[in-house]
Amino acid sequence: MKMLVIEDEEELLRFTLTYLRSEGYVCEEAATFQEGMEKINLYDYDCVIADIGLPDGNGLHLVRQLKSKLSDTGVIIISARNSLEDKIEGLDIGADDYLTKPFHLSELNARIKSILRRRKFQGNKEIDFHEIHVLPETMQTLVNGREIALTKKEFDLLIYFISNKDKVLTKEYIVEHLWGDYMDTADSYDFIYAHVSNLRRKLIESGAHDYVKSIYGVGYKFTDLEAK
Amino acid sequence: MKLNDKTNRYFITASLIVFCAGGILFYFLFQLIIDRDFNQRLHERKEYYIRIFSQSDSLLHYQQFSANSIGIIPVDRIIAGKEVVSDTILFDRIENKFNRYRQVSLGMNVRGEQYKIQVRRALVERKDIIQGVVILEVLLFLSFAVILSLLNNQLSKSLWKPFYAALDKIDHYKAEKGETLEFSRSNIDEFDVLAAAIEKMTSRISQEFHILKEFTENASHEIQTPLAIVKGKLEVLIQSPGLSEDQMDMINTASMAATRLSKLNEALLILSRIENRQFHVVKDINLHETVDRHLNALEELIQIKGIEVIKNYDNPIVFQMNPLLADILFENLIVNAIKHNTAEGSIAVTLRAKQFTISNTGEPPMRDPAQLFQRFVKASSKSHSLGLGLSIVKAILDTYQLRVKYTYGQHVHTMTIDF
Repeated sequence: MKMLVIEDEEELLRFTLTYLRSEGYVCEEAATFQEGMEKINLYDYDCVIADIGLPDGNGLHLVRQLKSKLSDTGVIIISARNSLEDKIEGLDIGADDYLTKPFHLSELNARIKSILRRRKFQGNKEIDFHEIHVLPETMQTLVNGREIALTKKEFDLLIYFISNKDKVLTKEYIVEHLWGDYMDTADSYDFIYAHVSNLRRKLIESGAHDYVKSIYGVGYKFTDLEAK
Repeated sequence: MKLNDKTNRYFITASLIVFCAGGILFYFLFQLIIDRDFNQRLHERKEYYIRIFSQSDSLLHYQQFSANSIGIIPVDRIIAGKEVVSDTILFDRIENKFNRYRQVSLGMNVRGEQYKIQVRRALVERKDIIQGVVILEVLLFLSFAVILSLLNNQLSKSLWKPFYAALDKIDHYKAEKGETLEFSRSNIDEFDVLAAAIEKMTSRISQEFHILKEFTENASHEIQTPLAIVKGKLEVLIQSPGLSEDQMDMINTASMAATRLSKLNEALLILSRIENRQFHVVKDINLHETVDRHLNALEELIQIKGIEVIKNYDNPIVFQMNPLLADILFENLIVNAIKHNTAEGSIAVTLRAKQFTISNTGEPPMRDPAQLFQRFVKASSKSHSLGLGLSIVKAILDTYQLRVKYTYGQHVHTMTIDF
C-alpha cells in the first residue's frame, strides 16, 4: 500500500509517518503544496492524506487535481479549522473522508483501512483475523464459518479493533470512534466497558479465542494470542 | 427628556421671569399715567365748579346736591386761596360700598358767604389695575409659550432630520459586516462634524474588528497544531513496547487533558464566532424536525442511561435562523438534558404555540440559576463538562433576540424558549 502524506507541520508529518509505517504502509511525504502537486502528478498512490491549510496553497486544489486524473486514489482531508464549509466542499469535490486536527492516529488508521477496503475492486473487501471473518458491506460476522449476531456498535468496535491490531486503544479513542464528539461525559467509559465485554462474550461463546487484552485504567489492545 | 423639551423648558422659565418683571414695571407705569390723567381731570372739574359757583348768587341751593362728587360746606372763616389735595374714603350709596376718593378742598367767597368747596373723584382701584395687568400678562405669556413651543417643535423636526437619519444608520450598524458608515452632508456644521467623526470611528471599528476576528481564528488554529503534536506523540508513545500499566495510565491522562484543551479551544472559537455574528446565512428551520434529528442521533446515549423521552408536538414551529446554529443550539440543550439527568430519569420535549420547552429530571441545582448561562459555570462537579454549553446556547439565542427561562421544581429542570 502506497500512501502520500501532505502536511506542512514537520512534527505532525513525522509521527504520522512513523505510525503509518509501523502499520506496514509505504509512505511518501510532502511538506508543501508545490511538492504535493508534483508527487500527485508523477506517481500513483492508494491513499493521499492532505492537510488543506498549507502555507503555499489550498489543499482542496490538490484534491481537485487528483480527481481530475480520474484516479481511484482514496483521499482524506485534514484541517485544523472545524468549519463546516471546508468539510462540505472537501467531500463535494471527491474527498473520501474528513478529519479535524487534532485527531487520533488510530482513528486515521481505521479510516484509511475503511477507504482502502471500499476502493479495492479486485481483491479482498472482507476482513479476516484468524477464525474471525467480517463482511463490512453486509455487516455480517462469522466465527469458524458460523454467523454471530452483533449489534451495530459491537460490529464497529470489532472492525476498529482489527484495524488497529496490536495497538493500545484508550477508552478515549474508542469513545471518539464510536460516538464522535457527542459523548464526553465521565460515565461514557462505563458504556465502553459494557460494549467491549458483550463483544468479548459473544466471540468466546461462538468459539473464538479471546484476543482482547484489558489494560487497567487505560483501555484495550486487540492482539494475537502469543503476544498477549 | 428630549432636548427640545429641555430647551423649551429653559426658554419658558426665562420668559416667565421677564414677563413677571415686565408686569411689575407695567403696573407702576400704568399707575403713573393714570394718576397724572386723574389729577388733570380733577383740576378741570374744580375749575368748572368754580366758574359755575362764581356766577351764582348763593351756593345754598347747590348744597342739597352735595354728594360724593362735590361737597359744599358753609364756613365762618375763609381759608382763602389755599387748595389742599387729599385722599379720603367715602361711602358710595350707588355701589353700596366704601370707595377711595381724591378731593381738592378750597375756600370760596360767593357774595359775601364763605364756603369750603370739596371737589372729588373716585380713584381707580389699585386692585383693578393689578387685575388688568395680570390678565394681560397671562394672556401674552400663554400665547408666547404656545407659539414658541410650536415653532421650536416644527423647527427641530426639520433641523434635526440629518441627526435622526444618522442615528438610524448607527443603530443598524454591524461591525462584523465590515462596513463603514457614510452620511449625506447636511448644511448644518455641527451635524457634519458629527457625521465625519462617526465615519472615522466606524471605519476604525470595522478594521479592528477584522483584526480581532483574524487574531481569534489564527490563535485557535495555532493552538490546535501544537495540541495535535502533543496528542500524536502521546499516541505513538503509548504504543511503545515494555510500558508498565502505570506509565500507560500517565500517558493516557496527559492525552485526555490535551483533548480537553482542544475541545475547549473549539468551543471558545465557536462562542466568539457566534458573539461576533459571523453566521449570516438564514434559513427556515423546522424546529420539531431539528429536535427529532438530534434526539435520534443521541438515542443510544439516552438508552444507555435508561432515560425515557416524552414528546409533545402540538404544531410545527418554523423559525428563521442559521442552520448550523440551530443544530448547535438543540444539540447542546438535549445533551445538557441527558448529561444532568438521573439514571432511569426522563426528558420531556414540548413544542407548543411558538414555545419550545425541554425538561429533565435531575438533582437540585448546586448554583444560583442566574449564573447557569455564564462561561465556565458548571452545574455539577463533573469535571468532564467544559462549562460552555449553556453559554453557547445563550449566545445563539442572543443573536436572534430570544430568551431562555430556567426553572427548577420537584426534581425537574426546565428550559423554556419563546420563538
